[in-house]
Amino acid sequence: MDRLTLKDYQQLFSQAALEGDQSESYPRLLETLTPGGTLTGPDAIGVYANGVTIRLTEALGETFEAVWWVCGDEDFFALTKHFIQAQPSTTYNLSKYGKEFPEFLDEVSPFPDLPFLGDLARYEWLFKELFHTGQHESVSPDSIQSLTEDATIRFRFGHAVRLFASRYAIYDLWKLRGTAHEGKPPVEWDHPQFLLLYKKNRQIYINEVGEAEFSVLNALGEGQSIETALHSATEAHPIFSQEHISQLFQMVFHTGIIQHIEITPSS
Amino acid sequence: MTNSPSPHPMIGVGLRPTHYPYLHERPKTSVRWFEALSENYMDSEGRPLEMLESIRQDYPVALHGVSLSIVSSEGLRPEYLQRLKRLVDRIQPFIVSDHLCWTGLQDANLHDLLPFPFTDDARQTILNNIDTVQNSLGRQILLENVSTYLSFPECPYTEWEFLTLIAQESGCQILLDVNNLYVNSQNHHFDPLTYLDAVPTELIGQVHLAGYSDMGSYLFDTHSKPVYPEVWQLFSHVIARAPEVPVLIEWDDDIPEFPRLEEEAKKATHIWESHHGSTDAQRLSTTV
Repeated sequence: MDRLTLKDYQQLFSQAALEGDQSESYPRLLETLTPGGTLTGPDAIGVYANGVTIRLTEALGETFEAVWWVCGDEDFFALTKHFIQAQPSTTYNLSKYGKEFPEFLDEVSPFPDLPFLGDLARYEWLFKELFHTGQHESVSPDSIQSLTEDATIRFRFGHAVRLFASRYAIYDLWKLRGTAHEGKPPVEWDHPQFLLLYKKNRQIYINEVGEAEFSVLNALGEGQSIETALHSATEAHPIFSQEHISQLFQMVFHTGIIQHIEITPSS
Repeated sequence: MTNSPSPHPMIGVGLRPTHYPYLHERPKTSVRWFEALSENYMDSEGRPLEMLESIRQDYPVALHGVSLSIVSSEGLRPEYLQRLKRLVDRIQPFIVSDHLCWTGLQDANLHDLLPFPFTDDARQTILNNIDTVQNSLGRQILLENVSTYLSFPECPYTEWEFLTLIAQESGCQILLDVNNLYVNSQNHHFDPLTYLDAVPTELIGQVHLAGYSDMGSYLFDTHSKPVYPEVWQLFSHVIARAPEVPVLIEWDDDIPEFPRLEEEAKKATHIWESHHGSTDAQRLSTTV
């Protein structure tokens, strides 16, 4: 063992744990160790190698619960095994593992009849991030009442606000996770869905909005003025009426998603 | 750590999310303190942290990490230390601990408590890393002995010699996991009392108790069972000479209802009392 430095040993062990007996370092590692109990050397390394796979799979299963629900055990575990081999963890926190899983699903596109998997995974990652985000302070109703029509007004949304759009009914799918089903998921998923997610009083809320409303929220979230955001939305969606606009802003104020209002007097 | 003139049993349990709904109601419990897993809170501003802060209002809290990787030959992750320090400053724990192990490489973290050879090379790496952590946090840390399923035959030190040496040379303390000690004694064929008697009492800053799983060809540290009689016996041996050391019941898999955890904590209290006399743990106040 004294021929191996700690650094060399850790490289050998890491390779063996990830690649198993196919790794070049495997025979060298076996020479250096004494297995515990009545294990063989490969079995002893296997205890650790299996542990890595189990822990990373559990982490993915916890975050991507709905993807697991849609795929079923066998297909989900095949996917996670493939992902784990392709994407070792570089984070110290196990619960942060899997950020690249949605893109992985897009790339490998494992099931042509489930084209929404990447978006569903992206939604679950976003939801997890929101869960771990602290509550922002919303502007008071008084601030909102002081808004004047002849000013250029911009909103800054709170940090516990997320917008999510998909060409598939991701929210409808996600809501059903955990329920019993066989074969295809029991939901009409082939239509778009636009979502506003936010925290209020430390609870997560999810509002489904229309496409035009979503485009306004998205523009406001990017820092555009109300005037510009509404102009773009009404041009793109002619049926977006004054009544829709009124309802949208009632919802915006009611949800407490605004953290700051910037008012620039018109010149 | 305690202002009490005489020692009292300081028995705590691990804070786990499955018990949040029960603890949210702030019931009267028979445990004296909680240990929280640092990584569950250092990257969250959400409900987990709110729960921890709520618990902290009523109990002393220890922060116990699993990802420090103090035996890493690549050095420590600055981001990890920064986030841990922020959490420590926020929670003001009475103990900050992690494990005497490494967890993988920075470009391929294995997320496990991994074994290493007890060599002078490792010793120097660990001492440097402990120095970095204790300076960064501005406080002493505790390091826990881990269960292992393989060992290295040509090492100049036994596990207990190495653990003791690290604590003596670094100024850290030992979090003595009696279950891990027992698991290793069976897996690596040594007398657990030899280990226990070799570790100076004054270096032991905390004790862990948990249940292992017998896999047939080895014992596996699963934290999924009650504490075994053999481990209670070793605990009795430790607590007889270290009455002031905080003791924690760990249960991380197949986690039972909270009252079942309290039963394990009461067993530990009874063993403590068998050595040091009966006391009403509920009535005693410990300032931490």
